[in-house]
Amino acid sequence: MSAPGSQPWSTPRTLVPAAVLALVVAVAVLGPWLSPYGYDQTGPLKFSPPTAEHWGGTDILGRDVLTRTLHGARISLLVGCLGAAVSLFIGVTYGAIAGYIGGAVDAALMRFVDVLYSIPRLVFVIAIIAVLDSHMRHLLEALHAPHWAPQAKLALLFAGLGATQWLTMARVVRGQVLALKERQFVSASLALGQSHTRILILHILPNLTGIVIVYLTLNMPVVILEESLLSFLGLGVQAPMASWGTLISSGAAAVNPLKSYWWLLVVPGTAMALALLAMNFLGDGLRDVLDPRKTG
Amino acid sequence: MTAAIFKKFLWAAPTLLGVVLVTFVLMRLAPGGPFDREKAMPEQIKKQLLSQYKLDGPVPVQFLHYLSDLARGDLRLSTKYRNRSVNEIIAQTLPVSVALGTAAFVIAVVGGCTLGVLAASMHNRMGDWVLGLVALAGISLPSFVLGPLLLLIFCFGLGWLPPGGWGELRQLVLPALALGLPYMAYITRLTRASMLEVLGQDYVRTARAKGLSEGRVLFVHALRNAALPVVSYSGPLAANILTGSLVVEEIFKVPGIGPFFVNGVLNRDVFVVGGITLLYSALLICFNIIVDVTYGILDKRIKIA
Amino acid sequence: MNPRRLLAFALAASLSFTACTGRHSRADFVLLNGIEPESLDPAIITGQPEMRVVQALFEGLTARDKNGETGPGMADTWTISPDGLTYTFHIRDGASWSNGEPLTAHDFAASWRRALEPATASDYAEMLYPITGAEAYNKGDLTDFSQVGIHATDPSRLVVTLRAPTAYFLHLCSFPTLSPVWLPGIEKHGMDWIKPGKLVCNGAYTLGAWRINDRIRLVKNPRYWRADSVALGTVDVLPIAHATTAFNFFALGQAHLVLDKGNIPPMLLGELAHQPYFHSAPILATYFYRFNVTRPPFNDPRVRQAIALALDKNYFVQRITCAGEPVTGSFTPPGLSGYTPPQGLGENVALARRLLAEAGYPEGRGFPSFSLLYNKTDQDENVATAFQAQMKERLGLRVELRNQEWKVYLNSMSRLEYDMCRASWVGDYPDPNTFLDCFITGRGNNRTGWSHATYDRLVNGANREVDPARRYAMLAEAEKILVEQELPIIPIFHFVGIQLYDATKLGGFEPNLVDEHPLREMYWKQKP
Repeated sequence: MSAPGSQPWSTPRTLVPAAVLALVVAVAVLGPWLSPYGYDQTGPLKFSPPTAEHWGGTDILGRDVLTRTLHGARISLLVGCLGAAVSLFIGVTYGAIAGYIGGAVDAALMRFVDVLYSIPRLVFVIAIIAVLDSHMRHLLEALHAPHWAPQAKLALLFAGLGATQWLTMARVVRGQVLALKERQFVSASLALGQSHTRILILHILPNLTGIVIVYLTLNMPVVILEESLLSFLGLGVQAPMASWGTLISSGAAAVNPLKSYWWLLVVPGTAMALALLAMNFLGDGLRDVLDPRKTG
Repeated sequence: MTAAIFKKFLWAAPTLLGVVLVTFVLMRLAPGGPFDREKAMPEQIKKQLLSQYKLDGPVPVQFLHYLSDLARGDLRLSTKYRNRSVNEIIAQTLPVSVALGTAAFVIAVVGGCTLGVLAASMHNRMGDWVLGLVALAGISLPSFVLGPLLLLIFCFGLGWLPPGGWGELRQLVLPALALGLPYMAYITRLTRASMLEVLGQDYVRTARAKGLSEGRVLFVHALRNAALPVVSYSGPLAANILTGSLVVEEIFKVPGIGPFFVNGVLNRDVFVVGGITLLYSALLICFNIIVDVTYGILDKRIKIA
Repeated sequence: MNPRRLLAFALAASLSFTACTGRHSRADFVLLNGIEPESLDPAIITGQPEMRVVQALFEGLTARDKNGETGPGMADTWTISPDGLTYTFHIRDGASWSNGEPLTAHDFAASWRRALEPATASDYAEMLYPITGAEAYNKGDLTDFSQVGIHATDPSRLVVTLRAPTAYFLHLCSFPTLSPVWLPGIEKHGMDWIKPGKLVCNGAYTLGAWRINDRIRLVKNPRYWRADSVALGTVDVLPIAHATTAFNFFALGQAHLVLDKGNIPPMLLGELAHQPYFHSAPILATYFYRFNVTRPPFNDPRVRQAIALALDKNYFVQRITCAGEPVTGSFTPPGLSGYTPPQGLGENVALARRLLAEAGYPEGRGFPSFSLLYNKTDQDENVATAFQAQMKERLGLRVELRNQEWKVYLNSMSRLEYDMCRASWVGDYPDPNTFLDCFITGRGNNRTGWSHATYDRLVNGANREVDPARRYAMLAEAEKILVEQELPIIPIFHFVGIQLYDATKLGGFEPNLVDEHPLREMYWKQKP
């Protein structure tokens, strides 16, 4: 707990992970200018361990693993941010409304969540990609821009992952609102004549900040991991682009009893673990700062 | 309370109907059919197969026929495993996944709650950071990395445990860990977060003031209230974890139901996907009812429904 | 959570765990076999993992040995009429089913009829098409089976009439689709006839157990006609989906033999190739790229030739596949006795550039960017990526990679919704026809939109030719059109069969062209 009077924003608990995350983002953005290699540039060295020329070693086609990891950071962070943003927006709105109104509306809304919950996300994502891919392709060909196809496919991936990730958020928010609205301050506000919208926004939502931030910081990594699972199934981003997921899933075979090309797993794995750790720690730190009962 | 639960059961039927409808339509909309192969199949044989599996004619009619079979408890035949009914596949593989999943669930919930409470009690001290780091590492690793890492340590390195398979208790350990640890990490964080909220509240101070032991305060009084998010999370968790995991079951060669889910989708094995989705959602509904009941028991302030 | 309830949970878990597994003794031999078999019905199966098991359970009129040579099976002798059209098989005396019932020529006739029935929907029914009337019967155009050239004249004599002399018909007789099946069992149990305890078969092994994704237990069949020569009493066939897991099982001594390339982690191939337990040999299979010749600019043979000539195929096999695959210019693999495939086009970048310029795209200028379709496996993706780099560097062409999941990929390929795509073809029998038949106009396996009247005439004509030398000459001429002039496809390399086993201990295993390794011939030189 921070000592009374200290500046909450400048505790090491938020600054350190924020700095790490900023570094990861900066490196991801600047990636192409930091490395002498292109992410899809093949070379003569196959499975070279880390050297002065290739700090992160090379893969089977002689591509620089570090460069590909930097490139992967862009894709993975983009997937994480968009997915989590979608889940935050839909989930909080949906959950708060369901929990606050309660009754039949709540039941109906939550039954709908149940239906969506019960359909495995992968069915959704695979079907969305499979169904829309060919339409997207025809559209791009009509627009004389077929070379945008990989980017269009990436957008489909965001859409699929983002639109299936809000359910947990909605459920948790609803549970919390259900508990909060029974508290005395809500009935007090009602007695004072405040409108329901006002109560929801001014009194209930601030109380949710802690748990929402925890879920959000947990959700970003979940989206990033989900993308990596799709990559494991061969449905991730289109080669020769790379995400951390595609790099790690092809590097996972490096763990075996015969010959370990450890850098294929360790380099992208470290980058991903570092970013996810920073996100989670930042969430924790922010929670201490933003929790209404502590700051207020 | 019983009336509320009864109402939930009534809701189950339309929910399941919705699930089957969405799954079936998605599976039939996706390009590529269940009988497409690398080697081309004569057209008339493909027609024959589609009619044998009642996948010819307009999709709405197909769906209605499917529903009537489902109503009779017949989940139909797999289009990939052509001598197997979906009922048989579930009967053979579900018990395996349930056994594995139960072990993983226990690891996740017991481990997660314990570590979460410990972390909260050591808030901002060294122990909190160490536990946080461990928990976060657990979340930050995809299961297809965690699995091989466990193998690296306990199988190739120490030689204590076999690389996989099913039939001996030793073979259960690694897959249960690989399946349970990420969820344990998640629960640790959930518990820690809500414990921190609860610990600041009056009745905990009262309990402490009454001179109760710290362990009793933490694990009985505080955890009882802090467990709400964990309880609400463990409903879907149980449904998820008991229906297996593609990655863990494939890496450790566990003959469970997990791979049929994802591979069913990729193979366009429409009735396998339909049947398993139905099973999954029925489990989910049951567990969510259990969650609501537990909610009510844990926190008397919440009225059910 | 109540700790006592959790304890009860844990207890229940371990109980159900023990209950649902059951103990099994270790088999004499453990084989890792790729994916879980889709079926074990000889008429239905299509994949190699299924065929390996089925060939242990069933035996046709002829059978393949460890060298891949076709020899006597259930038939001990046969005669072929001089025109090559009539085969008369003699079923060996004492041939019997695993339940002791005698196995007769009538069983064969009835089983072949079942494979041809439209209702059976057998994928490989076409293996019977060389027989008079078989194709019409399978397609429902002929309903009177007595008009099909399959006649059991007495219990030990099967007379088969062919519509054209088919040089490879004896090979076909060893194919699983032509195995005999126990029809009373099918009538009694329906689709469950193939399950343990119900299956009646005639091969070297019987089915002891079959649990989905867990194991198949094969037990030696004492009624098999050469049971005396079968050394391994029990064999466990393990399905395995994950290559790294398969390798772990082998490396830690949990399995004795790994078959199937899909069971070898691609990343390790370069390293594995130096291990004493690594074995590889050429097989009848080709990795190639298709062009969609209905889409410009690929409707111009010069463009197709240019792309083929510009490829550095050695890079693919030395850098990526690494198991000793031979690069190729021909579609048909070498090694088929009597047939010499044409050379095809080698690597010649200068000529490639000249052809591209002639076609109107000097230095690749004006050439539209096109996509290369593949389904995702690490190796396909790496080959595709290398192809992309070579096209850019050598011809100045821009290639976009396009990865689709398996079923979508198949769908795009057969509907010609691609520019170029990856493909592979595995021969079903040791004869060039199994390859060259694919590219006859309108064949389901053509999938390029390519049609060439001379090619069709040559391949079809070859199959009516009795004289082997003339027949092979016609096929070679056809293949020359395919891989030297027209190139609707670019052959890249021939696959090799890969096996992991300790050759100092396991005997009766020989690498061979058809990649078939009968369990009945394997034995332990030295018990592991």
